[in-house]
Amino acid sequence: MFSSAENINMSDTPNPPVNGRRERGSNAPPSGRGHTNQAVANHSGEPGGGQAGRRGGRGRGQGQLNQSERQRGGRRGGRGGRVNGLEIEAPPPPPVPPPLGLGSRGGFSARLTGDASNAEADNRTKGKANGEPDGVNEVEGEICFICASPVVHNSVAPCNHRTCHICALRMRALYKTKTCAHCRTHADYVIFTDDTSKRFEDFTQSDFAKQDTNLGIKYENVDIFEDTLLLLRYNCPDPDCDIACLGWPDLHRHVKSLHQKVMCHLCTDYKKVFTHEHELFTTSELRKHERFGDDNPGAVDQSGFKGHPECGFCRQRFYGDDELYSHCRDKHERCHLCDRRNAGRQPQYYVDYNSLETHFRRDHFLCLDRECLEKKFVVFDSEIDLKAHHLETHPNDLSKDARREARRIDMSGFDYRSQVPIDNRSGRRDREGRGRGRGRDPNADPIPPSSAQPLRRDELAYQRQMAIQGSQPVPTRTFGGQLTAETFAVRPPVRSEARAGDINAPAKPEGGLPSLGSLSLGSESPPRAQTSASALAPTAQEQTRRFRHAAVTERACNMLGNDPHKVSEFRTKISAYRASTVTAPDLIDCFFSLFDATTVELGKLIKELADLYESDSKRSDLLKAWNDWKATSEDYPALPGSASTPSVGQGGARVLKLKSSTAQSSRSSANRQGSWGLGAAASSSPNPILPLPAGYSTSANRVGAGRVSATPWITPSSSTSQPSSRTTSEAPPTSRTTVPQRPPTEEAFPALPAAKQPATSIFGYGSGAMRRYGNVPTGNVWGGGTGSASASGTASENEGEEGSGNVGAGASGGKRKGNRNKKQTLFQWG
Amino acid sequence: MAGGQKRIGKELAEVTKDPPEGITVSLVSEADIYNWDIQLEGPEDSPYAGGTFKLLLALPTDYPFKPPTLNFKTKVYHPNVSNDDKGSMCLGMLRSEEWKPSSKISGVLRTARNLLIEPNPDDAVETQIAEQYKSSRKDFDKIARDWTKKYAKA
Repeated sequence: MFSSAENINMSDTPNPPVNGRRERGSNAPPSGRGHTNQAVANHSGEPGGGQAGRRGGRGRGQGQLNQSERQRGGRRGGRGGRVNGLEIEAPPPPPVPPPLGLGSRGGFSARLTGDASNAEADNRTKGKANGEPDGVNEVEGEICFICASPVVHNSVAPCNHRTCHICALRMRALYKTKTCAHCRTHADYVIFTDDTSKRFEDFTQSDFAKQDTNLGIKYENVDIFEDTLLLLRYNCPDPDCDIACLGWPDLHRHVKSLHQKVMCHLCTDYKKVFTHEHELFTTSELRKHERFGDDNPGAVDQSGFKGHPECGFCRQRFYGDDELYSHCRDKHERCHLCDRRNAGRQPQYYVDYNSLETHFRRDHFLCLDRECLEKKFVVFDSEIDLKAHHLETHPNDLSKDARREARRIDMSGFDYRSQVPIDNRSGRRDREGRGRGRGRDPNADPIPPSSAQPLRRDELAYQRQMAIQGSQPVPTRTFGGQLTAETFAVRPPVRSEARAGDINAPAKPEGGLPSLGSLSLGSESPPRAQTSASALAPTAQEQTRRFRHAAVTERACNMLGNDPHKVSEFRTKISAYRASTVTAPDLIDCFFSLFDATTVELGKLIKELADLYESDSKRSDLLKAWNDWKATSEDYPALPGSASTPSVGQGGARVLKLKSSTAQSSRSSANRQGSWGLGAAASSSPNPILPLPAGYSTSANRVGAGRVSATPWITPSSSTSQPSSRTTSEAPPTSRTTVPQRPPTEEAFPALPAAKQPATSIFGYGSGAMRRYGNVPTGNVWGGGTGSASASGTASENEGEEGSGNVGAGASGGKRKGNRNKKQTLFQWG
Repeated sequence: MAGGQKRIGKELAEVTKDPPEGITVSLVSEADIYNWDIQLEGPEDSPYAGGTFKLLLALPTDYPFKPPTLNFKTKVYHPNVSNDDKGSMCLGMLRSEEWKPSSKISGVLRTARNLLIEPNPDDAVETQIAEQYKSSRKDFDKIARDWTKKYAKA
């Protein structure tokens, strides 16, 4: 309905204040106008774009909703009267506004769920207004069973269970479940009604004034519909502020600039509450909130929240234990053998597969066959299992004698007691220490050369784990998981090398790794170094990377339908991002125009892709941008159609806007300056145009170019063919050895063939650039002169160390050697 | 905030006023309505008879839309209670996919007590205990009684 360009522009361009004022006025009940105007005056510092489009600010893709929203301005006036009348007795709002404006203010906040007291007051006054006795509150039917608050409107499900409309909406819009709160029966539609007894089946289609197909709600009358919509807007959480913003970015900006407060990004991303129920923090409060929660024992508004847990490896906080758990599950590794032994309790995490492989080598029986190493997780609990595996999978590696030998099981090593369920930790430890030491498999002797103690690997593993757990400073919060200590991660190379010498001769470093290059991820320059701490087992480092590369490439190819043009464009984009010529949000933007895939699929790809970046900032930027996108576009779908101003050079405008908003709030939040990096100078300047550092201005241009599909100087066809033809010829060499310093102009015009309107319009609201203030600037800082130098510096360091690390072990390079070593190993067994 | 507190307050009042049989409820700390201290008397016709078990009921911030969790603070020999320092009780109704916002805490507590009378070995966290419960009930009863004597009679 609106062009994407308009949509984007909507949130970017400062509107004439007049526009914003008119809009706001039309939204407010007429009797409160005096006050509303005052509010407008108060908010005049707020960029106008924030309010102008608020009517269309949410519910992307809900055609129906959107339509009715547009009609709403007209109806508003009539309704205002009622609201005002009802709430004239509402408890006076905490501070500020003059009694004159009471009606309008109360009218706004009381119709939201707000605090319970407000709702209650609403109800009470409603009772009075209708001439009912005050006691109506006490009647059971008037209290929602679920939230124990007074029912404002009823929600009736097909099972004829009732809740208040707020609970029903909470379930449907926030928890995204269409089941009944009482009986979990799925309901495609519920009815929001003021009738307290009418049964679901007695309603006919003609009873409904409105219907929302997306949420599955039929509204008996328009008032209920509007009350519902009110809840879904991006309302400012400040109790005295009646601003509804365009989207999360806008709201964050509003809160920051107007109230000098911040909102917790994790909470806004994950917490399932209505927008106005979120909390505002000062920066220090936010820090406390993240670390310890804002549990305030004894206070009326205590939340019971204990802080956002942090991943000890990544130093990144997550919304809750579940999110941290899934992060650790996805990003870090667990030893399935140890897990089995511990019955899944106290999971121990390893920072990545390399670290885990080191653990395998030390504490379990890892098959050292090259293919098996590549396959990963070919590791066994016991010697016997490993032997069986050898016989089954690599029979050719063994001589006849060795094979026969391997078939023999030495019963002396059999420990029946290990079958006994283990339920007492300490008991188990004693038992094992004694029991297993005695009957060791003589054949096993050469295998764990490092263990002077008569302990088996699993025992060692167990003890090591205990030691680690014991020595680990208890993190402020865990979900019962354990992280491997850093020392553990660092030590392995030495040991594994020693061991590799025993069992499997050090494999050759892999020279070219041609497949790695295919994605041309690297701005890796020839000397490949490695950051010491993260370099775990050098053996598998390259391999792991290679597999990830392959996986990403494969996924991308599949998603692109193996279209060579698109694939090469995809590569171009990625290397552009690597070279910091494209910011993460823009990269994601490009992906959307490139891939015709579901967000779930794209999400997988992006996560895998992010893992490939060695630079932390790149990885986290990308993930952050993606999460931002998801948060803004999925959790709170935005209605298209709020855009009304034409778009010219919006990319620049967008940056300017960002700047001006910081400039505004920079007096209050000095700490933010840090994250702005290069931009600090610019943001403090009253005129944001002039001091733009180079990084900004280029990116501004680029953003503009990418977005405005109608820009005359790029035709879709040229933009597709250009990068693709170039990449096909260029990609292989770039990959490892050259720094892909592409002329920015080329990536700058990602093909947006049919302009993919939905995707771009979504980005108008949702791009991470707007979501997090720090985001775009950080990306650009890297793109700026000094930034890029240091970035590539790190990358090359990484590379170099990888190279050197490879000497001790390696993947496919030393095939011959590997084979010989295998033989050695086997002889040892025989 | 989200209506949860009101509901919790209401339920707390109800449970305190009219507690389910054999159950006493109090707050761990008066200032915190999200953590409930539960005293559970071992049901007469169970190996847990005579013991008093201390449980912690933790309500999530988005209660009642998300289920509470129930942990035994007193060691108990039971197939559905994890035998570790957490003592998590595995109640079907507390699983997030089975939880109904309309379920009440008193109902949860009643179910928990019933589970002491009648363990559910098919949905066990402690598979060995469940195995034993099914195969040699006598041994199970004996250990459960021993543990009750040892840990639940202070």
